[in-house]
Order: sequence, then structure tokens, then C-alpha cells
Amino acid sequence: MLFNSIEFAIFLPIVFVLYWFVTNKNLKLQNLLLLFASYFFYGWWDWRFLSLIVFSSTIDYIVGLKLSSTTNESKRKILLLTSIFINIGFLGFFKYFNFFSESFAQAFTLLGQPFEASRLNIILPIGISFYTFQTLSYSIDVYRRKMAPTKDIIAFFSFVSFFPQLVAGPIERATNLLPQFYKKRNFDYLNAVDGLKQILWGLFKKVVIADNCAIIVNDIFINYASYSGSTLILGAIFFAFQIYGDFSGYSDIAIGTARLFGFNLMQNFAFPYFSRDIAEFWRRWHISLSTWFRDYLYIPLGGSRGSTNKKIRNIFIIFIVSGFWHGANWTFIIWGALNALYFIPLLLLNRNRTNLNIAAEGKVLPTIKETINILFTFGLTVFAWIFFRADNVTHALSFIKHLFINFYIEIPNISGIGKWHIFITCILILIFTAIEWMGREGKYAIEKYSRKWNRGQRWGFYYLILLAILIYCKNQQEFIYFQF
Amino acid sequence: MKLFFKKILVFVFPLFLLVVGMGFYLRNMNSLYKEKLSGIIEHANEIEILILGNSHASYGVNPNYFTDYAFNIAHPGQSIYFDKELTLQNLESLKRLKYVFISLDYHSLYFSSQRGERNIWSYYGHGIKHPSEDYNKADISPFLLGYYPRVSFSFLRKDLLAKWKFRNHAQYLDFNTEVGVIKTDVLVKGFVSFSGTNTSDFKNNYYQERMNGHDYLINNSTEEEMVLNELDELITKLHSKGITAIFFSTPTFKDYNKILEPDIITHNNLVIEELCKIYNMEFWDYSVKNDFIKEEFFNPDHLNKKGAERFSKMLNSRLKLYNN
Repeated sequence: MLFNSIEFAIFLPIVFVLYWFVTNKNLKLQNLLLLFASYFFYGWWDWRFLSLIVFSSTIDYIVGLKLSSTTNESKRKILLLTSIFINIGFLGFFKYFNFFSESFAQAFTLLGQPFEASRLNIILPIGISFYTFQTLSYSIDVYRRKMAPTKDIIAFFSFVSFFPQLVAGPIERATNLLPQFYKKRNFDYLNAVDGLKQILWGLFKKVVIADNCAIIVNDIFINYASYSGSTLILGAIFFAFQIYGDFSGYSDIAIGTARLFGFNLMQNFAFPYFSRDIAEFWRRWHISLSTWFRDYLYIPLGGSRGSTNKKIRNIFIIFIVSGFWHGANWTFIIWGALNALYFIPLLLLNRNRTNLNIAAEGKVLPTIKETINILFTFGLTVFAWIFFRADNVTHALSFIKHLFINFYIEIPNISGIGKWHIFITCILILIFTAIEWMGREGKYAIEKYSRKWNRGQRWGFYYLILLAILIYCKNQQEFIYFQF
Repeated sequence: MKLFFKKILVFVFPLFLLVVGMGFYLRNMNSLYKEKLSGIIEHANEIEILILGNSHASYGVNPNYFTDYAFNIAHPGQSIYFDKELTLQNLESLKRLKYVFISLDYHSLYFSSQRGERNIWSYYGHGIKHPSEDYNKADISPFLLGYYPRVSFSFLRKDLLAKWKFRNHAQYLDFNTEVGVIKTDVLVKGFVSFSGTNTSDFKNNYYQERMNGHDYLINNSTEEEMVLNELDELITKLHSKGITAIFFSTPTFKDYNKILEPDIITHNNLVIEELCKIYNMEFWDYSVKNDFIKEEFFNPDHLNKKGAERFSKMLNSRLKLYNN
């Protein structure tokens, strides 16, 4: 079920009413409702893959209980490895089997031993990378004795499949989300209203910004050979806004929806395009994944301690694995490696933690230096996005080649897409960026934005956003991160 | 909680009014579909010739230049499936029907389901459903899920603008039309026409763009067999009623014709030739072999009012010869 669909618009109020009016007296019943709602939400796409979630949840639930019942460290390690092996095994099979099979075949062929790759016709279950990591965090944290295992099977299953963030995050840590299922939730008016505002803003990002950009981006990336360099740059910039609008929009809707049910999810995006260096960008982009890798991969590897070579190795590992998490394609690996290359100079110069606060905090406009840094960082990110968006490495390299050899500035003339549409999209992006800039000190752009306004102004603003969503709701596209 | 629901209801109420109001407007809005359908019903006892097809036939064949009573039920983007359904829907009441002209263009054989939102529009206008389409949502709300808000607002805006612009005209086409259509004409026998020539469309990149669209459709088509079955059903039914069916194609501009894909033309010709043999029919093909000049076209593949007049007279003359 897509957040930007009529099905979800019907599903959400029904679950909301049942949650607060029918099951509100009994916590177990409330959790059970959430569990059924979550399975229904997921099963709407393909009910067969529900078995994967149930199986994964069962394994980690049992592993958690067993971990607490034994003090033998080698047994505990085996239990943890079982959880990791099964979860990563599923992920590896569904997501990476064909990639590895083809890559091995190519490698053997290059070495003069022609080898036929066996390809399986596998459907990738949506959200598998997200819920796998979420459930893994539980097993690891129990193993590390950071949290006690749960005996409440309904709470645990609900935690793994919690529908607002099931298919595209934020990837919640068991230490944050699971305890919220144990406690009685009380309806908080301000929290619920704020949740609705965040949903509204998320929908705006997705429907108005991302989906509009997608139409132009798709054409430019398919027919790149017939466009000038300036149009290709525009395509790459539009993709930067598309992926941000798409993914952070989803996160906003997820967080807002969770708030309607009395849950607090972690912030997943913190205005990453206003970052002044790549290190800051990665503290602000897909925070739940970055911190997951930091806690469960980077720090166990030694983090930023040890020799320079070890530091560089760790950075490469974390960025490449992060890239590979996004998809079974060399483009994602290169995208990750490119970001590692951007990051390493900052690490070596010990400047990776210089910009911890938001740009121009407490001010209206950034300084010239900040502006240059923001634009430079944005430029680096846009360049890396070309690899992320391309179908394969050849496509990405060819796109970049055309960008340089065919560089001249022109008004984009894209077949089937009027100049007016491009112009309007540019205007929408400018308005969007301005709103995001003004609201950058909040958790989402319009959080504090309208607090000084009277109700008429506030509602007028919300109606405008809603009208824009209505006008553009026909270009419905799937969320990009569903495929990861 | 009560306050929350109260405020939600107050906030949503204007939106509810908008959805209901727009829904009412859209359900009652006039359209070319509705106009043509009411025309067929009104003149069912007079119609002797029926013109089917997509925009090429819709703007290219003027029934007023036929000796016998002709009626044009072609619509922009109309597929053979909808041609068939619309004809069969009214066949019993068309007592005097003698000829049915079936337009077969470069791309006609490749799509049964209409592109874009035309399946839904045909449903609203004619009540015809395509088997591949889910009409439940369109039934719930024409504003939110049928025409969608953007198109709905566009209809309303154009409607209001036309009402203002033509407020002093006794008659005008009071329904949404494509850009270039003569709004001050009167709809007679289902015919509306383009005025003048849109010279900016007579450029290679425009030809290429249109061809790319057609070639993409054709190369990715999975519906050719379906279209042939639909033709079979239509023609068999017409023949069983003693009605003569004639395939035809409208003229397209000579420079535009140069970039048509030869393989597709060859394939089309083979298929149509075979159909003509099977059903003992004729194909009056004017698409490539024609002497129409730029001034008779609105754009490279649509005739304007002037071109439609000459072409319709040609069809009428040929029909007379055919009868003899």
C-alpha cells in the first residue's frame, strides 16, 4: 500500500479509530491491532511475502529468549550468528543472488574461463533491507546486553512489522521502538496535530517535488545522448531533489503516522542539502541507516581509532557496504566509494566534525563562506547521484562523458514534456528550498514555521500545500526506496 | 480527542465541499463524447453512414459533405475496441445504416486500451468500459480518481473562460476541445474541426517526436491480436446486418510520411490486405499517397477544416463510384 494512495487514505482513519476508540483500554489488543494492520498494509502489496516477515520475527524472538537464558559466551555467539546468518541469508538470496552469480560469471570470463551465470527470476520483497536491519538490531543489542529480550511476542512482532516504517524506514533501533510497545500510549492532541502536519509536508515532498522531478529525470537519463550538457546537469540536480523529496517525504509520512498512534520514531533526514561538508551531509542524510552502520559495523571495526590505513579502510568498508545495501548493482558500490573518497580528506585533516550545528543557525542567511561550502557539497553530492540513478556503470560513465563533450547551455527541450512544466518544476523547487531553509532548525521544515501565525494564515498555508498535492496527485510514482 | 476530531472535521469540510462540488460539475459537464452520443440517438433514423476512428478521422472527415446522411463518431485517441463498442451499442437503433468507415492508421492496429485517461473519459461519456481498466475508483469520485484534480480544474477554467469569451455568441462548442479547434462552429453530425495551420508543428523534430510516440506504442504493443479480434467481431456483426464496412485512412503530410517506419508500413499493409481478403472489403488508403498541401493540414497528421472538406468530398465521390 502506498502512502500516496487512496487505499492508504481509507486504511489510516479506520486503523486510527479502531486504535483509539475500540482497543484503547487494552494494550495487548492495541498492539494486536497494530500487528494485523501492519500485516494487512504489507500484504496489500503481496501477501506471500508476509511469511518472510513472520519467519524473520520468529527467529529473532526465539534467539532473543535463548540469548537471555544462557551465559555461555560461545553459545551466545552461535545464537547471534544464527540470527545474522538467517536474516542476511534471506536478504542475500532475494536481493543479491543474481548480482553475485553474474559478477562471478563475468570475472571467470575475464580470466579466460567462460562461465554461464545462473539467473533466478526472483521478486525482491519490498522493504526487506529495512526490516532485516531492524530485527537484526534487536538480536545484536540483546547479545550485547544493551537491552533485555522481550517475552511479549505480540509487542515484538508489532515492532518488526510496524506499518508506518515497515517498508522504507526509518530503520528503528529495538532500544528505542520496542519499549514503546510495552507502555500504554495516551492520545496527545499537539503530538497528533504535529503528526498530521508532518504527513502533509511529506506528501508535498513526494507528490509535488519528487514525482514532478521524476518525469523530467526519467526522460533525461534515458535519452541523455540527445541532450546538451546543461540539460544533463539539470537532470542530475532534479534527481537530487527527486530522491530527497521521495525518501525524506516517505520518512516524514512514516514519522507523522507513527505520532498519530503515540509513537516517536527517530528523525531520518535533517536538511542534508544545507550541509557544508560531506561529513555533515552524512550526519543529516538517511540518519537511521548511517547510525546503524556506525553502531553495528564501523565501531566494531575500530571506527576512527587506530592507524591511518585502518581508518581509511573502515571508511571505505562502511561507505561501500552502505552503497551495496541500496541495491545489487555496481553503480551503488561506486556511489558509496565516491562518498568515501569525498569523506577521507576530512577525516585525515580531522575536519569531519567541524560542522555539527545547522548552517547559519539563528540567522536568516548564510555567510558567503557557508554558501560556497553548501553549494560545493551539493555539487559533489549531485555528481555522486549520477551513479546512483544510472542503470549501470556504462550508463553513468556515458552520461558523464556526454555532460562534458556536449556542453553548451540551452533551454531544456525535452520530448513530451513542455518547457512550461520544467519552468514550473524549477519554481516549485525554489519555493520548496526556501521553505526548507526557513524551517531548517526544526525536525521537519514546517514544524515551527507557522507557530507565529493565526489560524487563518496557518490553515491557508496548509490548504495551499494540500491544493498543490491535489493538483499533482495524478503523477503517482512508487517510492524509490521501496526497491532497496 | 474530541477537539482533534472537531478541528479535523472543520478543516476537511471545505475540501469535502470542493470534492462534492467538482464531482457534481464533472458529472454534469458537457463533453464531445456526450454530444456525439446524443447526436447518434437523436438522428438514429436518418444515419446511413458512420465514420469511426481516432482524431485523424474525427477532424478529417466532415459528414456534411456526404450525399447520404453521415455521422462522425470518431474521437481523439479512440481505439478499435471503442469504435466497435460504440457502434454495436447503437446498431439496433440505426435502422438505415448502410456503410461504416473504419479508420486504420499507422498505429491503429496496435492499441485496444486507449492511452492516457481516455478509457475513463470514454466511460464517462459513453458508458463503455475497457476490460483492462478498473472503473471502481472512477465511479467513486470523478474529481479525485477519474479526471483527477489537475484535469478537472483545467476543464473548469477552460469552461469559465469560454463562457466569458463567447458570451455574445449565440452558439459555440460548450465543451472542452483540443487547442486549435474552432470553438465558434456548431457541432453538426458529430463534426468539429481545426482552424488554419499550426506552422510550428511542421518541423523535423516535431515529426520525429510524434513518430517516437507511435513507434514506442507499436514496438511495445501486446494488443495487436486483441485488435484483430475486435475488428472481426465488428465486421462480422455489420455484415450480418447487411452493412458494408470500408477501411480507410486519412491523408498525412508528405514530409511527415518520409519518416514513417517502412517495416511498420509493410506489416500494416500485409495485415490490412489479409483482412480485406477475409472480409471481402476495400481499403481506401490516403495516408501516404495524397496531394494535400500544408495549408490543408492543422498539423502533419491532422487535416484542418479546409482539408477535411476536400477529403470528405473525395470519400463521397469514391463511395458513389463504389455503389455503381
